[in-house]
Amino acid sequence: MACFGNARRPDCRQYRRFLISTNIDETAMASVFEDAFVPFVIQHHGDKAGPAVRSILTFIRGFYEHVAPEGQDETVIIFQTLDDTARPITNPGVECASLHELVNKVAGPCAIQVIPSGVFIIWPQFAADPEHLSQTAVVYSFYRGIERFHAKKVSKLIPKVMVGRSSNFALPTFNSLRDALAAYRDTMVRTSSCEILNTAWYEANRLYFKAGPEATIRRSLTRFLKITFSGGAEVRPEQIVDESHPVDIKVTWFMTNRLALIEIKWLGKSRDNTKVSASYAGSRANKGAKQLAEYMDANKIQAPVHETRGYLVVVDARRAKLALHRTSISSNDGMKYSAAEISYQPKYHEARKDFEHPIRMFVEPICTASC
Amino acid sequence: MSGTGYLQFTEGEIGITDSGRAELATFQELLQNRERIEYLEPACSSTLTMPVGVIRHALTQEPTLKPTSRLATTRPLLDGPYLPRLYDQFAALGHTVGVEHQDLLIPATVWLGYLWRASEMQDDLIAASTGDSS
Repeated sequence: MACFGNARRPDCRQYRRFLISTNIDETAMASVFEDAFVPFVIQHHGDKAGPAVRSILTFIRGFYEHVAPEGQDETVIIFQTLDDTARPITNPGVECASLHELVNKVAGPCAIQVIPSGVFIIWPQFAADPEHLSQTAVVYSFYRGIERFHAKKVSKLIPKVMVGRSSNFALPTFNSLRDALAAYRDTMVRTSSCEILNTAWYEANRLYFKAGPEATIRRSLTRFLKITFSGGAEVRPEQIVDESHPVDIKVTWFMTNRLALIEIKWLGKSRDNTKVSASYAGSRANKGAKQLAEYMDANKIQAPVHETRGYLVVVDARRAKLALHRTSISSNDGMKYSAAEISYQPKYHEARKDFEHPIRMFVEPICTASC
Repeated sequence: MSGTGYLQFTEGEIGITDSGRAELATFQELLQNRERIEYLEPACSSTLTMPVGVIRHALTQEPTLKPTSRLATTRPLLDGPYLPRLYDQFAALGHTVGVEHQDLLIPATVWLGYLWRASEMQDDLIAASTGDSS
């Protein structure tokens, strides 16, 4: 078995002087060593676990290219026995030869045994005991964003290297899009600081949109996402998902099977020089949710092996007591809807796993002190 | 590599072709390369243990690369006045993790983790100095 850490660390003045002179933070290095899972596994199983660690990590990365960690509410156990011929789970499992076969098989708690020959065995709807398996195998577990390695009945929590990521081993996809939309809301929409979005207004105080602002809003969000995901995903506006309907934005991540459909709806009023051209209340957001749910169903037929998630973006420019002649607004009227969340019926985001919670983006008008 | 037919892209995945495998086998047989495999393998495997973006960022703290990336200049790898600092880090690493075990993936991942932590600390310092506490 390997020799580790403290046994080798000399407690001598010469070494202390060396650390000080070289500006090396020994405490930080020791802490990294303590947190690291590779030494943990090899310490418990011995050097023979090295190939199994590499093999299981390769599998985990491939697994998350086909199964989004964000959608997993139950425990996923992935293990590789040190003896390739061992089958510690006696129940019959499904033998698979390709990661593409994972789609639609990972439901509920599940266990997967990785076999070095290239195949793997999956037990859907099966709650395996990682402690038991860890006696003879290198075991990885995932439960709602918490990742662990298990060896010889001991487990090691894997610290998140980047805050907000569901898994250290998955490419950032759905969670990063949610974060990007929140950033767009807070940095671009709230005060209309995006130069594209800023052209959507009829007047400088942001009371009315110009007639037909949809294309401008879509262009603004598309550009923001293109910059955010440069190199990691393709962001395209107005993509067809069924025979007649284009969704506002489609995001396709490279090297994974993940897609996102984004539907944008705006609330408030638009006008031209003589009349109000459109006026939309909260009910329009509900229509947008229904429309997106239909797109998701249509997309499931068009792209059955892709894992797709729907995002409803509601750009909210509702103002109180807005008459056609008004060119200014008080903060009471202008900000009346700033915290007025929309009640969705039905709640697709609760009923469906492929539907994110709609994100409302309120745009503040420029208000006069009192009116 | 894809231009020479050693790698191929299929459905968003990169794979090695038969000719790529044959070329790899030829290179692996050369004596000079054979001695390097035991170091190259754990170096490559370390990319399995953490996100590649994290490794890329961590390596900007490698003592011989750090001044180069800061000044946005180029210079030969593993050369120059900062090289002793790299070996100082390896000496500290040897003392921390021990040197008896055979699997070099252990010191490789600990070193990368240490560099990543150093880069995070530097980001915090920059944020503090510019008043950006978020």
